[in-house]
Amino acid sequence: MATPCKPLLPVLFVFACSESKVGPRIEPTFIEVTLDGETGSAEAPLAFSGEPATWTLTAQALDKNREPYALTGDLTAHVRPGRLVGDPKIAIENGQWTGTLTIEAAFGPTRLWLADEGDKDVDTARAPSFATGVSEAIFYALPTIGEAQRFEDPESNQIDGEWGDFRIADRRVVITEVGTDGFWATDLDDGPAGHGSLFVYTFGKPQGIVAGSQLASLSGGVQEYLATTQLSFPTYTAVPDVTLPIPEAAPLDPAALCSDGEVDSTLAEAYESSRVVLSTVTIPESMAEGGDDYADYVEFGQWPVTASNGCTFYVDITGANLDYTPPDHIGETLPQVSGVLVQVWNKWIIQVRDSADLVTASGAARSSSGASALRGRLPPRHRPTPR
Amino acid sequence: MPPARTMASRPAAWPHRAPFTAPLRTIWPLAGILGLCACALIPQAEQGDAPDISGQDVRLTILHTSDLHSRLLPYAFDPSFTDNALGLSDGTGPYGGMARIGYILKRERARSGRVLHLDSGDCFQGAIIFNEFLGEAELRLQSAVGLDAAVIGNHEFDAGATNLAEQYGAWGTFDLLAANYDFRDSDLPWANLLEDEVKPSVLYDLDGLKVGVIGLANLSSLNSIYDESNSLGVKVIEAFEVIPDEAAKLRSQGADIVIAVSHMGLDDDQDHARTLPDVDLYIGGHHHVAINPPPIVVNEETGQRIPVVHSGAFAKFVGRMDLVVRDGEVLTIDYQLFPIDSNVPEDPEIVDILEEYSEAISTNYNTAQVIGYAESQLTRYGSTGGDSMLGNLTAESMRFYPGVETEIALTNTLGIRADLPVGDITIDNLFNTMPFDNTITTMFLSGREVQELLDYVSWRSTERGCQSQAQVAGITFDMVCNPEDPHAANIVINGIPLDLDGTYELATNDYIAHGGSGFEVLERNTTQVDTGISIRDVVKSAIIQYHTLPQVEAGICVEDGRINPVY
Repeated sequence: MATPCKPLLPVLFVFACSESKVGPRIEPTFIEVTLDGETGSAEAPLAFSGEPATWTLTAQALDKNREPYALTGDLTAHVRPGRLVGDPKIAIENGQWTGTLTIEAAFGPTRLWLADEGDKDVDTARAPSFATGVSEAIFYALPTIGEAQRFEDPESNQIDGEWGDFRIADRRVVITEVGTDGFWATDLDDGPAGHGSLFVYTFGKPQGIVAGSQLASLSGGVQEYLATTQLSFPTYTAVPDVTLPIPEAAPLDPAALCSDGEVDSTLAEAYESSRVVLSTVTIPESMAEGGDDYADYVEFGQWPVTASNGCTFYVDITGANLDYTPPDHIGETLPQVSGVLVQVWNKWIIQVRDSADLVTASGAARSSSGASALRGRLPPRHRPTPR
Repeated sequence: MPPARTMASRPAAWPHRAPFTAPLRTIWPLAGILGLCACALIPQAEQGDAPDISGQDVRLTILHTSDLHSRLLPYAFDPSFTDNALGLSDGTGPYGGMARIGYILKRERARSGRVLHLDSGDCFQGAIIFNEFLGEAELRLQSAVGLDAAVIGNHEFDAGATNLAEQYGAWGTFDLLAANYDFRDSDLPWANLLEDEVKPSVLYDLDGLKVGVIGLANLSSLNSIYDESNSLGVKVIEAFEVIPDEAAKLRSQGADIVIAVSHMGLDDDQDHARTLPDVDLYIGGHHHVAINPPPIVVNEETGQRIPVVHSGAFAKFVGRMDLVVRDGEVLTIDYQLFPIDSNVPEDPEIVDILEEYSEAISTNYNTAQVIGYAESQLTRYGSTGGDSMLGNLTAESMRFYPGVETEIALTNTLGIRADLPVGDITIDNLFNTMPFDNTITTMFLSGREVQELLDYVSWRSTERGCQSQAQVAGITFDMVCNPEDPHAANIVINGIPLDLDGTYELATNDYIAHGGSGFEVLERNTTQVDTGISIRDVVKSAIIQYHTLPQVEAGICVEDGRINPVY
């Protein structure tokens, strides 16, 4: 209900004049939540973990006068941030509940919610009050880039969908490449083959950093863009006047990474967004016009290369401005292909940076006009469009 | 400006508008001296019935819409990858629509205790319904779905400030906010109306939880207001002044938390969250982005973590932010986005209202008329960041239209508001893509001015991810997106390198001809002739002529690299 605010005498104006919007009261009005156990602190947080952790809590329902309210029904549990394991509905009787909740992948100050959002059994459901109580903060450490990305599903990560704050300040995180719409960073303490690399999407060319800059902080929306982990709408800072060595490209070993001619994504995931190098590969017949890979090449620019064991990776040179047309080189062997490794659904693609990254039988590929830039023809991301 | 059509008689009384509408800014200095409260219409029993929330956890739900841009009726489009990722699936169209939004809002209100619906502006402009009814339908339906407060968006002025004042006066039952616009010094007639209608902020009492809401209207696009560059004469107040002042005022009135509902854009919202204390949450719009999870900005002064929520545009999503507050501190948040597609039921009350309008525009505009066919999605952005399919079609159509026939054409990319989806091209689709009633303006430019014009395009595009902010005909050039030196290079006019001492006749749109989007090189030109020819009609003629698009062999409606981004 909206109630207008009307001063009796305009000149004697209003100190606490507000529009009241109140619906019918449903009890309980409050839920008090207490938490047992060592919760850590901002200075000494609990370790980040993808493994489940169980917490014991007590809930007490209260009415508007803060007297115990004999609520019998279901409360709904939430955790922010992190994932709740198991059924979010818990049964409360006579206004009290004590029990455990299990969470995983929580990071930073984390709170468990218990809310009166309605009963599980809709047939006997009462009108919920939406009273909500939260626990005191449990302080978990922020995840490193590697910790966030080590996950059973190579097309996801531990904190997918969260606003991710990363543990950066006490790590050596270096920017390895700067592109036209973002940058790649590698945590040297995880290494390029240790899930420690990430793409940070900045929409335009990122400012204030160069390849070699050391990051001081990093946060952003964690998502899987075409199965490659990226941060969107990020905030980041670099350590002033400090550069770190950019790691050498990590060699990809098709014998170790592939089975039955296909890249094992659970293994390749460790290299995602890192600089990699692949040696002695051949452009297969499938790149001939009308072949299986030709249409994708025309539409998206990616083209296959096959190792001696039949394992196929893909190469994308569209951002490198190279004078090189793969269909003209079917059957030829490329001694070396370097670039950033990204996953696009079930394909692993090496995004080539410049002519030095693509070594042909006759040497490095030639550049065409224009400066080099890492920018593939992937579907567009978010694009702010004011007018 | 045509007179506004109206579909319904105006209400005799405004359902819950505060009869006292003098903006608090006017008399705020008196408040500290006089300090007497007399909220006569708040029932005392109700006030006294509110619980004491001190020391207790209280949940607040904010329902959020933004940049509806007149998409009150469901419409066809091809969701992007990002739309898909946010839950808007392919094949579930048509998308958007106010009856579906009304359903979601009603459902989520029923799933909430303390709840406010806030809108971040730009509900005007973007579909035929606005061209015909000039905002009546938008404001009437925003009121019908129970909107609590909205900030003024820059497009709310697209049919003039008087129109906004009159339409809101007739149909608005929600609080209209803009703390950073000051209308008091203007002598213009509409200024008095808006001065009465627009509040800088409002304080809501939600069962004991006092929520202050500040309106932050747009500054960066004031020059896009319909008439000309800031012809409104609005005195704008900088955010760093108005936000602390309004927040302090609301705190002094007992606000437990303070929310900024903003149409300033994502960058400004993040900057303000980072640098200005005392606002707990930014609910923003203008950039048409839906972001889930919402960015969290750490305030430099207080260390407070402040969510900045943007819930997208074109009625594609409704956002829901839940906050748990204790003693004025936001302890924790949760955010959801609800996609608006054909899986969402419609609110029958809203359907009834919409029918009055949809029947009228269907009759008057023949919206279902098929004028062409899109064999593939016709895009407004180029895949490389340069020229685009619809951009080239539009610019070529302008340049060659009988009576225009200039050497070159240039139009702003953002004047094309949506892709055309695969399938039949209808009048309705065309209006969604080209909603603005812009006309073609011709003028003569020197070669140096052409260089300056394209340099400006390159500079502006560099700031926006090297995505070209203009579309051209008769011109090819390299758009050099070097942040240290953005510029245009290798400019060729109809096959001949640009002659800096030459003269070229340009066709452009009246919006940028008047300096919109910062095109000052055009604004100062004294040879302008407004042809009065509608750009939408010109494009419509081209679509009818070619029928099936793109025509790759003929180079119609295809990207051909005339704008070559160089990084």
